[in-house]
Amino acid sequence: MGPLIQNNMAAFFKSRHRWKRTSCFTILTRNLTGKYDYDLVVIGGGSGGLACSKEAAQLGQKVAVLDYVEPSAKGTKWGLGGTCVNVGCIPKKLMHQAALLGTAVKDARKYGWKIKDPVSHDWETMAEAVQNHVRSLNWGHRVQLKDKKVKYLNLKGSLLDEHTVRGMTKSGKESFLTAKNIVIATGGRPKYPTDIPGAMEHGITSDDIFWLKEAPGKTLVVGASYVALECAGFLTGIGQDTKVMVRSIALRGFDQQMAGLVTDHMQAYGTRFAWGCVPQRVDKLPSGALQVTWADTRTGKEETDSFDSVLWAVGRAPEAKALGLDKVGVEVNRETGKIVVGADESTSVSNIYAFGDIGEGRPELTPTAVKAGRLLARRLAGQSTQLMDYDNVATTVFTPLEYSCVGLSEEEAVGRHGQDAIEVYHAFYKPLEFTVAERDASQCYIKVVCERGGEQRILGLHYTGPNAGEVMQGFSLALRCGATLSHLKETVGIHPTCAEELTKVSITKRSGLDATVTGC
Amino acid sequence: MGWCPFKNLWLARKCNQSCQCVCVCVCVCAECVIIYRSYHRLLIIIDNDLVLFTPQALCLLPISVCIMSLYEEVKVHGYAEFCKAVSDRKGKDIFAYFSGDKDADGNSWCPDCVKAEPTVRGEISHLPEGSVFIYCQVGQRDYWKNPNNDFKKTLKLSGVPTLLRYGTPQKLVEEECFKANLVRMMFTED
Repeated sequence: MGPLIQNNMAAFFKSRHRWKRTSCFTILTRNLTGKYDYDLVVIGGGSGGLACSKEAAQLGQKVAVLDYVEPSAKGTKWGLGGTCVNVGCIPKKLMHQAALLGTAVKDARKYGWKIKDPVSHDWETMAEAVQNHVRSLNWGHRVQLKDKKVKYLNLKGSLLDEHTVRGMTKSGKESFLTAKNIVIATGGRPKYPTDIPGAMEHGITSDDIFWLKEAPGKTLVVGASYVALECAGFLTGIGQDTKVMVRSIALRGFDQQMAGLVTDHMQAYGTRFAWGCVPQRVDKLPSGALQVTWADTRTGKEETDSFDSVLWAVGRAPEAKALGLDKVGVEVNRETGKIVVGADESTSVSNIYAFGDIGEGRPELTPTAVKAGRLLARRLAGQSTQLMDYDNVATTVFTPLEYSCVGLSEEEAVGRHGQDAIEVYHAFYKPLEFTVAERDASQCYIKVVCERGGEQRILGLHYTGPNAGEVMQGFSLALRCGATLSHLKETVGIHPTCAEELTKVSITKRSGLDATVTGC
Repeated sequence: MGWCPFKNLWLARKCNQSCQCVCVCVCVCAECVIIYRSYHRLLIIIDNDLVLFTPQALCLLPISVCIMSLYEEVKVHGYAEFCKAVSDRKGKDIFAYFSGDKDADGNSWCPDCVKAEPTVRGEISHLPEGSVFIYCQVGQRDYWKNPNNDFKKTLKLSGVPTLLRYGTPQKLVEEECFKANLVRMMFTED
């Protein structure tokens, strides 16, 4: 009788006692697929990697997924699920909701609710609830992988050659897997500035903010990306003194008029902004507070202030350096560090694919990674030839005044078609709920960018206001179906909502008329 | 360590008296570690699978084994007993299995619980060392159907059977309990 034993029996020893171990039986690794251990090995267990591996397994492939979280500089680490689940979309939206509820509680008084002053927020209660939900999602993914028979390995994956992946444990122990196809979906991590003394020792990033045990206190958020603004937004909303330091512009890559409305609203609601400022150093004071020195490029002066926390949101770097890509010949964009990919997510090596945040030129969004991963799995299993369509992907920035959009920004439309060939319809509206609550709606705005001639096909839709994501989702379907301005105008709005204002636009920017919506 | 005349073997560790299944013994060849089941068959774990051997055959096989863990099983009935069992064991890794009440003949009113129990019991040998397994009968069908019962309201149970790891989000509900690989995952992985 010759039982087959895996080589790493030591892994099965759970007892404290050291039993004498003899390995007298030969090791036979089962190669069920004939040549390779797996049909598909996915490196990265985030939104993309999990979707791809589960889909592939459902289509009958033998799949393994490697996920490993290198702790942040502050030591924060998390479970299976990637950025979105652990340090991105999910905790962000929950904390954003916590902040919105704070505002709602204040509005509630105007609606007749008897709520005692002052209303205060407890970080620990919120953080624990958010972290528990994230952990339940980690568990849910584990259950799904097991159920769908995807082998999950908590190992740091890297490429040895086109068909071999090396997995490494925290302590440096190596194991190897061979695969017919390899998919890289390792995503990215927040960048620390390299030229600012004290940045890494004293500052935190989005990797840390959601896992803090205590409220961050008076916070300096450096950066003006959506990550920076969303974090600054909910921190302000829950009562933390927050300042945003912007080097040049906010929400680079987004429609700049809309970006201005977002930041104007944040300033009106208590977030302080330091425009045109660049941090120079961060020092720790004897009190434990952080002293930040920065240069104001507008005045030329050097300023300084102390904060309890400094949050760096100055961009994200792809997780590609430790993958061994150059050794295997996978081409990487020299400037961004991301993997160069084709329309079918292929890389310069024929059986290696990459998608999600790690792909050059790809949107850094969960739904696109999930969809691309599923389509890739279907193509690799020979079940489909459909490619991922990255156009007209709707997105939302969850700042205190939410901003959603689909399609082109006004600047992009002008750039592509020329000012004369496009028409921009717009409206400033007031959500009904703001009236009784006596809230300022100056930044609640809608913009429809469309072609000027012919059918006036809609090129882009932009909305700032409550529930921006919910409002925009249905309209993104319209864009996919080639909606024109007449389609939009022929659509009857639901009343009373904010979304209906999109169907009622009639004033063009070109006319110069006042775009404020009046009554019903 | 001690000689067990009943089992005719040296015992490496004594059984936990409330534990149903194991005592860990060293085979007379001193090379094998044996997990000895309460139903008096000698078993060895090879590569996480149970393989049966006679005592004589054991001596011929010097092999590496996985040591099964010792755990404590506690049987409780109703919410109050459950809470007491948990509070009496603070700091321990507690797994709880919730099932509809069994009648005098040992049959539960909950058909899914009947279906899941053998699967959960089948994986019980994989519980971590020092952990606690609480088998909790929740009550009669009427009690369970009431949406305000303590299990639903306070413990947030949504259905029976439920297998959960207390104080963590790890939970398997209803059909998930039918799947041995999921049960084993909960018992063996962090």
